Amino acid sequence: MSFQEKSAWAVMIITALVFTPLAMAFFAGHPLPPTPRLIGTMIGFVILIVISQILIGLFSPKSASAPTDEREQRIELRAERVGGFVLAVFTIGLVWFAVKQDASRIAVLAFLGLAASEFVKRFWQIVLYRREA
Amino acid sequence: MASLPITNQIRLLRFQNGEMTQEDLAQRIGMTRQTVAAIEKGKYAPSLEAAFRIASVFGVTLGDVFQYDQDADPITTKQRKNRS
Repeated sequence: MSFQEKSAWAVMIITALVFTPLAMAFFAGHPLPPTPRLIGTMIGFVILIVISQILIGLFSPKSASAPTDEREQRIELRAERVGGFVLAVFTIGLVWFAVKQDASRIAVLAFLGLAASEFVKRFWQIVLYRREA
Repeated sequence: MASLPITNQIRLLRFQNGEMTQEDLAQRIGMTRQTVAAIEKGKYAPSLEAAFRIASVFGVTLGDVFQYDQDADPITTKQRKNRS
């Protein structure tokens, strides 16, 4: 297994372990943890990710120092496309939720986030088409 | 996943070159061992640049390493069906 694949396993497992309780509480309509605890969760998540990457690097130093090759880059791009779709679905959910809560500024900001993402994507696509024409 | 219309002789060429390991080949072409394994099994078609690098390692032409199977290519198969 390559470093990238081991890293993907580690991030996936840590993400599931750290955020499943929060997701369950949110979707079950239970009271949510206070903001300091949420920030603590985020910081803990980042620390766990960093530790996992260091450990993987220690156990497989050769593959960790190797640059990602074309197949790995292609796999990452394809996976990012799926991840981007999930993010867009959740952002649309956020817009809907904010409209329902009458928090129109949050709704507009989330909507603008989607629009900006699409704009940057298409802009960059055109730049790449022009550059490689 | 649909199989690729490109076959290769990498396993044979490694054998003919002193049982070169996938790891050795990977290092010489700047790829991971897993990618070499995927190319060898026909699960991944490398870029033209990488394909030339592989041929160069074995000192053979591109055609000696990779073969194109027109019948296994969904694009050309579809075009042939449309024409007939």
